[in-house]
Amino acid sequence: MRSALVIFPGSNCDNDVASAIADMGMGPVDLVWHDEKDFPSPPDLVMVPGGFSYGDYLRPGALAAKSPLMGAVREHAERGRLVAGICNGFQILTEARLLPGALLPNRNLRFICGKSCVRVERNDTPFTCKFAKGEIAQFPIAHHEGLFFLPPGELEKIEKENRVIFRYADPLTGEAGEEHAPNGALNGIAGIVSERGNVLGIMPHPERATLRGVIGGTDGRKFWESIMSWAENAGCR
Amino acid sequence: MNVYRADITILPKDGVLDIQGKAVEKTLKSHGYEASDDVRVGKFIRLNVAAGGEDEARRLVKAMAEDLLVNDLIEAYSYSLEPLK
Repeated sequence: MRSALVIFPGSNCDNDVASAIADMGMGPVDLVWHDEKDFPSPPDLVMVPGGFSYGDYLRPGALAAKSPLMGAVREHAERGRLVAGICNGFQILTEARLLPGALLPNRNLRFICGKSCVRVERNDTPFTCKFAKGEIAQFPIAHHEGLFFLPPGELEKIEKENRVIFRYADPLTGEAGEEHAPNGALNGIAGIVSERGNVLGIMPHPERATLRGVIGGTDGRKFWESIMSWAENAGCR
Repeated sequence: MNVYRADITILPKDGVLDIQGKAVEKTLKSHGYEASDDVRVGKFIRLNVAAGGEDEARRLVKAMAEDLLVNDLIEAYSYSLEPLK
């Protein structure tokens, strides 16, 4: 498979994502500057990495969402192909309206950086098909605006449609929800997918839990294995 | 062409958690300003816009706000317009 990694001024997790993809043996990665109009080769997967695109000016992700390359990302998503935004990448995808919701400042108004645990709510998606349903995965987090927000009616709608695929959880009890969200995310939402399930936004960083012996934990490997399996077999269902 | 100055005020929508506003309010109250209430923290953007007339200037400001400056899921805005000499 082939991946494309979108890079904005201020992206800082692009190397982490590229290293994770290389370590997983996922095939070639094109690093594509946001000013390009299109990808050099049609990718199977588009990754929108974390960081502080445009210094988080105006709103996190707002300026990046208007970049020329985002037109190609939108077309790729509309064709049903895979797109995953991590952290600032998630913020960018919501600002581009490829995903619903907004990421507000953390409830404690602090930048939070550390371990987080998420419960895998579904394992029939391109991003989770190698996890067990209900499995707890440990992914690092590092963000200031991670409180997932949707107005009440719309929040119920995405819950009803089972579009929440990662939820912050207590690793001991397996209980998930807002009280386990370090950022105060509504309903403890850590990651959601688009209506068709091919676009993912996730605040924690699976790419930082991929390389062995770096910062501890390799639960992210299943994330990449899921994507590889999905891309190679045209679905795990 | 005339030039207008637009002053755009952006605030968190009703019902959106305004954690900064809450923190500021708490601090004001703890400093004796019990009379303060419903504090919100938002943004202020000033820009100049060239337009044939005031109607066109208003259309342009509205378009800029809705396209980029404001995320209508979480923010509401208002603006004022003033012709520049």
